[in-house]
Amino acid sequence: MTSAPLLSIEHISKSFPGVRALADVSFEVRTGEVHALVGENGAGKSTLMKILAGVYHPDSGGIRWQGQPVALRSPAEAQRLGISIIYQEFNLLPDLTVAENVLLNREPRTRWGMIDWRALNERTRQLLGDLDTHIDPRAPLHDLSVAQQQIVEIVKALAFDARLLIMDEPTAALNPTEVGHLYTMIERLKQRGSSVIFISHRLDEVFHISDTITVLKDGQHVGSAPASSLTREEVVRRMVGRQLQDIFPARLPPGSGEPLMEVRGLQGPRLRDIDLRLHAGEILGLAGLEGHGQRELARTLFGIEPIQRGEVRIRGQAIHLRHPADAMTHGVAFLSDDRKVEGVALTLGVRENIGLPNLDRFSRMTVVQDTLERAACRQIVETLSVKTPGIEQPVRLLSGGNQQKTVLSKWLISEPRVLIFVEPTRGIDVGAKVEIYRLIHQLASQGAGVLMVSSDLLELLGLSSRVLVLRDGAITAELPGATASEESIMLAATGVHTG
Amino acid sequence: MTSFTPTTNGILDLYRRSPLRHVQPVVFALVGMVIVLALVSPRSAEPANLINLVRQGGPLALVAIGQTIVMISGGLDLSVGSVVILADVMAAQMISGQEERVIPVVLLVLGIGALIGLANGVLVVLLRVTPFIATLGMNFVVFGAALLYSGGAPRGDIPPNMRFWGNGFIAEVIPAAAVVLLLVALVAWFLLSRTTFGRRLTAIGANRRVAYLSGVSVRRVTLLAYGLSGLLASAGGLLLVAFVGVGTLEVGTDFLLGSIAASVIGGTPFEGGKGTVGGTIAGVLFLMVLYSILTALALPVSGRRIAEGLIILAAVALYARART
Repeated sequence: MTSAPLLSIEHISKSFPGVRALADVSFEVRTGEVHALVGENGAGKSTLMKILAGVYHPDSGGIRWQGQPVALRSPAEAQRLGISIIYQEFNLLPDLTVAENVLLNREPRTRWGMIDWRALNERTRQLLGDLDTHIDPRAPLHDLSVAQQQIVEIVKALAFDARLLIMDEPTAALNPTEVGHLYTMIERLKQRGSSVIFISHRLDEVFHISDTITVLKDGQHVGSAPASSLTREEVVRRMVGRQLQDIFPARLPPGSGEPLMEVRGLQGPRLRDIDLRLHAGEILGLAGLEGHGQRELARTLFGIEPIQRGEVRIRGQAIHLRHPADAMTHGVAFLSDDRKVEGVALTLGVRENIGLPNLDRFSRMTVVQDTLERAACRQIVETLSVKTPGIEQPVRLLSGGNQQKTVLSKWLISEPRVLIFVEPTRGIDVGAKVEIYRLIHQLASQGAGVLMVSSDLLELLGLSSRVLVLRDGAITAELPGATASEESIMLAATGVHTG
Repeated sequence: MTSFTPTTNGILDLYRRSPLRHVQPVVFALVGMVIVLALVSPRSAEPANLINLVRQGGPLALVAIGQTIVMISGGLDLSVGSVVILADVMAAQMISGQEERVIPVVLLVLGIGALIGLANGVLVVLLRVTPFIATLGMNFVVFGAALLYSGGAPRGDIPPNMRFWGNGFIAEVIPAAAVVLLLVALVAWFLLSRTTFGRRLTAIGANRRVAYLSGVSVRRVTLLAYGLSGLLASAGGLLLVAFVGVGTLEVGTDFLLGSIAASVIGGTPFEGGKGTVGGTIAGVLFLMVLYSILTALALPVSGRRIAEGLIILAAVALYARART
């Protein structure tokens, strides 16, 4: 691994209002290497990726491409250089065929200027063949599995003669067999002389596939080193910046007796025969590969997604869930994983956001009692130590962690008995994360029942009293939090032994 | 062009840091317009004439307040022009100069307006037609109904007891229309800024998903918003016919464009999520002063129309640009 650098990132800094996303980050990606980029949510990985994609522009610092300084002013320019990005959300058109997607806007033409379908399919078949895959170029994209669509994305990138592929969490939705295929694919790319930046949360994969590992933390470059010179524990410590036992509070034991919330035979569009009991004082973790129903289950229990069959009881009383308001009436609160779309209204102030689900509590004959509302907001903002200049501050000006605390504030005012958290720490820095873990722990120990969906296994294992694992919309295992491990969860999530 | 951009930004920046930032931009625009009017035609800018503008602007202000309510929720009501016309011709024809009919007819017409608004709401909320298409379609339907009802030639007239509210004066100086407007504005202001309805409406415009997930019945609130817009549009039509005295089929576009322009100039963005009654009324007055200026310049109708359209477009575009 002594080949020349393909890409040099030199002293890049980037700030957004209220956040320093990247501070003086420098590292190199060599030709033909797989370079893993790891770090917690909010460490700056996606900002860096968007800078390389030409979407964001650094405030200072520069980028060299094969030794030459370059300015990535637009996605088109990045693409012209040979940088391709495969986002988690694919950039593919589901109603077009594989070949049409791969060569979109660059279709080979006949003499008459019409699309040369034969050449289009042939060229795509060739590109697919180069990677030893046998997807039919004429198949409509929506007939392909997620793993196959990912291959199409890779082939599309190669059709642009990509020298550097950046993959953002490419394995998030893949089963172990498919992950194996992806590894093979990445090996082929290396042999062709392409470089890969591999962004992942799963350290097993990172160690399996990468030559170099770069760790980012809070927008700073902690270090880059050959993977062979590092251990898992070292990487975790560098990512988090502290020891694991300082992050998670003492585990709460599984609850017993009369359940707070009980679900029997629940069927939904993507849920099969779910039974679960949530007790007061416990944190129940929901695990599984992405897209296997844990998110849907959480949303169904808040009345967002329809219930086709089965029943939900809260403290023994069967309830009808047709609207979030129905769940709220019974003391259920819900924290969405998409904070900016579903958690806070960014243009409104802290008070307006916190007041929204509590308006009935703050009003008399539908007239909002200002003094009541202000007092309650001030108090909760202080209790949760939301860092804001005042309760009228527009939420968009707060940092991710404080936005998340605003969402928590708006729910905690009503002292809910059942709290449903979906990815409660996505996109916030470690400091705020630890505070939120403490808060979740405190709420449960004060007698609330917490249901938590998280794709961050570290967090799920660190907090849960019990872990339920879902596969294809059904619960496949219940594991005690104290003895559950990444391996036991992955086994239940995929039905396949890993490692 | 390159030197223009930084300058505008510089001025904007200065404004954002000055104590004046708490004053709505529309107030400056309005003051500027009055100064222009005073320069173009000193007589038009005399207090008596300015007060008269408030009287003339009353009908549009009522309609614009309704438009603002819908726009705050992130919607749009393109049917207001036809609702104004329908209310106008129905009132003239049904009352036909008879004082004792005024109250029942006014109530009936207001009810019809509210029903049309609710119908818009049903299209948007239950049938999930986009507001633009739903209310544009409704605009055609209602205008057709107005044509049908009037047979293409509005008949009837308004008796003095109702005309007083359109063009009369209380104590010889205060326009009665201004009192009507003030009452409606107070109620609307209270509704928007003090009630749970207003808060939920704003939240829906700011982020519909968040509102829904916070337990807001997005459907009920949206339905009510369109209902209020229909109600206020018919009230605008009634005030207009009280001012003019006879029915007219001609004013639809003025009220449609005017109500949207006044809302936007007054600080309600197309995306919704904010907006104030005071801003919208200032936006209406801005338009009224603009019309006076164009009248004072004695432009031909064609030139007047073009100038009107261009200035409204420019004002809306500037506002969109100045927003942080």
